Amino acid sequence: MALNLSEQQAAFQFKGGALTVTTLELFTADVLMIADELSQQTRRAPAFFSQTPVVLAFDKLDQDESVALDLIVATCKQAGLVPIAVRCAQDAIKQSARALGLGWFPPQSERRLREISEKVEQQVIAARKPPRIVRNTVRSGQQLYAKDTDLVVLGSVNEGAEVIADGNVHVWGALRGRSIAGAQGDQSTRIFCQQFKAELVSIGGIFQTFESYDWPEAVERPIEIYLDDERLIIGS
Amino acid sequence: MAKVVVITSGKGGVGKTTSCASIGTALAMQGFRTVLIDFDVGLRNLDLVMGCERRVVYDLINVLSGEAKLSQALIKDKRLDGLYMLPASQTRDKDALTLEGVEEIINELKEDFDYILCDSPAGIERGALLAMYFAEEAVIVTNPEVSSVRDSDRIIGLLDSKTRMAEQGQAVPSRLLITRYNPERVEQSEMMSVKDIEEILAIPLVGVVPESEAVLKASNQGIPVVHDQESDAGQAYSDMTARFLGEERDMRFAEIEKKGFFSRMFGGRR
Repeated sequence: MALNLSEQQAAFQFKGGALTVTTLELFTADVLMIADELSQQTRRAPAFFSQTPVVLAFDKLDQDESVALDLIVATCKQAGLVPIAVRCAQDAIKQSARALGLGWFPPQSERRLREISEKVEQQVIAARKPPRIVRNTVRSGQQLYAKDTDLVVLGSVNEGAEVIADGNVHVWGALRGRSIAGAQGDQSTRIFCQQFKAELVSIGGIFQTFESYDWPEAVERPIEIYLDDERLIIGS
Repeated sequence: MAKVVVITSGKGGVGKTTSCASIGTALAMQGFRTVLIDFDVGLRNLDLVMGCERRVVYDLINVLSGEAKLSQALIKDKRLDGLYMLPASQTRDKDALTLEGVEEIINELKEDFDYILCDSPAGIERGALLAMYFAEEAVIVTNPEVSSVRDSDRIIGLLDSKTRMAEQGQAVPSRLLITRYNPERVEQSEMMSVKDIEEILAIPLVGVVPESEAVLKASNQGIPVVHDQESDAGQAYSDMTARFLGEERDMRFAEIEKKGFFSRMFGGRR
């Protein structure tokens, strides 16, 4: 029998997942004010309010403010919203939520917010890796990629070669091949070269190809290429 | 100890085999024991340019597969002592070439010779990669033409990554040999200049061989053009080989020569 257990069909399955849920963040416990504003909003976008699950958040209210949760829930239901849970620190609200059959989320604590901002900061620091430096000429058929950083080529990039960076691309010699900066989509990146004869340049996914004699006057000067309002600017 | 030199270009028809024959001949003239290996399996050419096609009995593939001894396959040049060649096979395909086999042959030749010149086939396939794999020096043959320059660029990239020296973290010293050069056409912007090519390929220049009727004539007669010291191309190959050996020589044939009175009168071209 035990062997057959695995073949039995399960009645259900728990699945974790992140759903996007609208949070109704209350700035007041005044039911009349809430009802008034809700009805205005409902008229403006009725489709949005029809059977939309919401979480009622009380984080912004004072700790000791008395809240008539049952009235607020009723008001929401009138407007077409379906309250599914509350988010609060107050024990009283948590108790009434249980009575009304609503779920409970812990409040978004300061600590959690701080953790998030610290994490973001760490990510920014991690993204700033030392540049990849290439000392020789990049030749036809060769492709170089500097992941999460800048690429510095001390030689030239010849026709048929490709230099790609998630950050900026610096070419100390002549750029004759293809150069792609901001390969992950960063549109603030730039391309620099001492001589511009490129076949193609791209910044943050916006690219342009060049016929051989498009820039005769730009050939002998240092050139900087950047994006201005999604337009490639080639300047010196 | 012998030095292994690959003569390569990427593009076909730029003068690899002609150059290989002339450089090898010039080295032998200087007294170096030299052997030329034709890696263009399936398209035998070097034996024709060397004028020994009728003496080919065994070839590189026969040696690799153990059907012949190296000494049986080596053909001695009829004009110079100390010059030999190992022909490619015309009947077998290039899959018969193996890295281990080539290494064995090169090691055996190293004991007996000063220079081993590997004449690479065109392209970047197996034959070309095997011809360059054991190279300790490279001569890149380039025509003053954009497609040839680009292919040479590609080949230099492969020399820097796909050779034994590269695998040991060293670069194969490569030098540039420009062939079929015509300064008058460069003047008229019909051809790339030596300066343009040097700038793109960024390797030292070892020689410039002018476009010359003597080259075609020599190839058809099976006499390497360097034997024809009357010709500009023959002199250019002598100069090039001297530079290759470390001598300093003026870079002739890269500029337009002032024509003398007689040649102007008779439009004489060698």
